[in-house]
Amino acid sequence: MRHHSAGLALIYLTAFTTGVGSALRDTAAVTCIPRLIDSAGLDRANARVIAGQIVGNELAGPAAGGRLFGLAAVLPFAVNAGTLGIAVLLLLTLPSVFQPVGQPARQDSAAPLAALRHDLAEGLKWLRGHPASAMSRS
Amino acid sequence: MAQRPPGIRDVTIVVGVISAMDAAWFAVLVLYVLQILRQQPGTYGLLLAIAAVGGVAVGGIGPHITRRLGTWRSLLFAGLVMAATQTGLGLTASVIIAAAMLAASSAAFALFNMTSATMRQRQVPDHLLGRVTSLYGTVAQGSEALGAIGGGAIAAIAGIRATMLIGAIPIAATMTLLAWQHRS
Repeated sequence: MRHHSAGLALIYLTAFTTGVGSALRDTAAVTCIPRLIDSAGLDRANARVIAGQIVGNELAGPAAGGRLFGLAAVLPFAVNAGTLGIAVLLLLTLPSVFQPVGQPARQDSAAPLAALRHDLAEGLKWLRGHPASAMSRS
Repeated sequence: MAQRPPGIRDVTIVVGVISAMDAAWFAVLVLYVLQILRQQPGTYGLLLAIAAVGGVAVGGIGPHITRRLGTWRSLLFAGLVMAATQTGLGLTASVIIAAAMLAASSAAFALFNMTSATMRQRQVPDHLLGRVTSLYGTVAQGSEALGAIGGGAIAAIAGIRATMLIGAIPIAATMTLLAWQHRS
């Protein structure tokens, strides 16, 4: 019994961690596309990214996962980790991955949490239709 | 200053509505396939695969649709297809029609996501794109979670079909409002 519940906790923790990772990835993917392609090609690029995600997530992934799980329970996890490693290597071949986005100069570098809150507030403000502070500095 | 069209905020609100309504019936889709369509469990997997093919197809034809219709009308078209397919799912007892509805619904979602991503990438200033995108994602996924809970509750009270039929109403209403706001 004890062993069983420890395993469940590990599964919850893994699910949470991969969820956090995929949220970061989703945001970064949308954000990096305009840096790789000009405005006219965005539609097609986004369409292909979405089609690729559906093929992986909803078609090939579940089928391969079921098959691998049938061979050995550890296999889907191992293959997933391996393919993620390959994905990271592929990302490194993109141009200017480490180049920071053109940021307006910031004064509050001392407190990272306050800076994060400020950043989010700025994004929210823009989203709500008050672009004044964000736009005037760029 | 006011170079930003009101678009992104409206699309963020819309994605909240459609994600919640979609998640509501998707949460009980397996029950729908077994109890309403009276299929074997294996058919559920097959239907999910057919739905995914609809989404993949948009990878090919999506850019042609947005080029022909333009951004706003593509979003509207996608939303209306979602409302129509939910209604179709809620009314049919045929597994063939349900498969077609699932594929069309998945295609509409892919079209919506593609168009809204392109919109954000074009309109949001570079240094804010990450933040606006993460807020958009928070709204979409948060609504999805709430929609799934709501879907379970609706299914328990009013039946499985109700999750599809009731959800179509807010989607259609939001799309009508959007069309009215952006009429020109």
